[in-house]
Amino acid sequence: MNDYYLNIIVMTFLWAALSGAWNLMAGYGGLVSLGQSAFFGIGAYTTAVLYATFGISPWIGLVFGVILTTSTAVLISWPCFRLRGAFFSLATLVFPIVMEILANNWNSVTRGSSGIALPFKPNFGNFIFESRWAYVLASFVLMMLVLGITQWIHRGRLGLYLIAMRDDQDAAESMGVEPVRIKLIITMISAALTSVGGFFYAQYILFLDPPSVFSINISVQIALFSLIGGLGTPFGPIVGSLIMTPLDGALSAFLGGGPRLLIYGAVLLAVVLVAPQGVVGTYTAWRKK
Amino acid sequence: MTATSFFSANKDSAVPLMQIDNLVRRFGGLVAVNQVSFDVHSGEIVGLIGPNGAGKTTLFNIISGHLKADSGRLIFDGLDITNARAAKCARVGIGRTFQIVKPLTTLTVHENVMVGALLNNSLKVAREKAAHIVERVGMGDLMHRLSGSLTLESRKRLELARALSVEPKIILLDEILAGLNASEVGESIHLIRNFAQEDKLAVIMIEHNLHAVMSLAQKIVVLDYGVKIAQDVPEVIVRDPKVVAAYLGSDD
Repeated sequence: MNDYYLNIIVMTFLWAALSGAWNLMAGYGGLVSLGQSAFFGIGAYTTAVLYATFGISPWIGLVFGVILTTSTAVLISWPCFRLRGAFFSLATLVFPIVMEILANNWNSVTRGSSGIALPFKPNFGNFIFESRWAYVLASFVLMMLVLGITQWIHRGRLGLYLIAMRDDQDAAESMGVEPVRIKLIITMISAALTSVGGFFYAQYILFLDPPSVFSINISVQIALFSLIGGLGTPFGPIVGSLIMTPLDGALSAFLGGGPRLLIYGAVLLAVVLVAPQGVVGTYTAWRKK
Repeated sequence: MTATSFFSANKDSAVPLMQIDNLVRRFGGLVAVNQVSFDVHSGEIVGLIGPNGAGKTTLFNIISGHLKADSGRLIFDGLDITNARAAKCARVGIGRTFQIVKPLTTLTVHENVMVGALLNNSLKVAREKAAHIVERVGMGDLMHRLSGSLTLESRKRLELARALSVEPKIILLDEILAGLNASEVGESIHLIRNFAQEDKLAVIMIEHNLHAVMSLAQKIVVLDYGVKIAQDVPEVIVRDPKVVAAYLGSDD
């Protein structure tokens, strides 16, 4: 199998993991965040800066990235929790915009718009590998980690509290659910997993510039895959990515540019019209009949 | 001192479960709840009545922590819970229903009740307790139905089941009989009396069905324009000229 196809497999798993982390917040908790690319970018940049500038192992960068992302997520999300529904989404849309401006202008650390290239020194300590199969394996592990955490939350107390809060916050509170606490916990989990995705992306692509990680398109794409696959289901994001990532790859290879976006948009429209609960949601509803 | 006042004074000397003490809530220039005070004892059923807009639901929202009071105090079970958050009120033992029903529509009846049962129990125990409560309110055959697909009557019962799920010492029932037919009202009255007597549960019920309140409550509190205008046993309340005037309007 050549690198082209392996790359599509890696990206499929990575997008499934990122979308799965978003699904925890949005699908279960009703926190439709459009700020995920901020978390993704902070994770990617932390690892990249520490490795490229200071020669610190990306494994340590991973730990720092997760801590930095999670604390940032808490600080910036907390004030947004009092906003409900679309107002929360609009507020979170600001995070990646601010981060992109910051990354573009904080030249001494991020090297601004020229971006950071990571030196290619393959070895396990650097999380850089000769073979793409290693990245396939690593991205698969990441996807399974997100799936495992989702399944665990789905079956437990946190999952029920999240769904209760999403369905009706007043009713949930009257039964003892503490909304701010639950929202903070799920935001931290989601941000941490998204940050791990950013770490992986930096070590895989070995080049970062502000738009490639902080772009709002990334936040939107993360959300779209779950919507297509099935919001609030453990397998939805994976199914969404399995359909959309290869399709996107094929379209850009064979058509490129405009026609690609046209077909991409048509698929999205079709799913929203025919199966508004996503592929997994629609299948589950159909089987229950 | 007459015999009746002697006995009522004696009864008040027992520490009440809930003391509502001069609660005030304003919305802009409107005083929705104006210095309302009364006590509720364990196992007591209190009827809270008054015309539309009298401040009954606002008072409920303050007691259950969904609204903050501007002044006054709320003592429950020896704790000052004035302006505590809703989740905290649930934790100390206040269960409530919502007048406009709020089923968690993507969850089953059993899961709806489990949310509250999880407050004091592990997952496994909560699952059993929730099933027991669902059976007790007579929804056993709807246990695994999605609550979004229930009829109004069942939704009202689900509200009751959820109020009970937090293992409360008092439940606040906001018009759970409204919109039900005669036989459903009869069943619900029976259920409520059952909970008060067997579980020593205190109940405050807002109800426009006066027949039902009169037959259930030991004490009636009447609100009008946010002010408590009367408080007494049902037999006295129905003959109180102030209450009759508030409901029907007076000549002066």
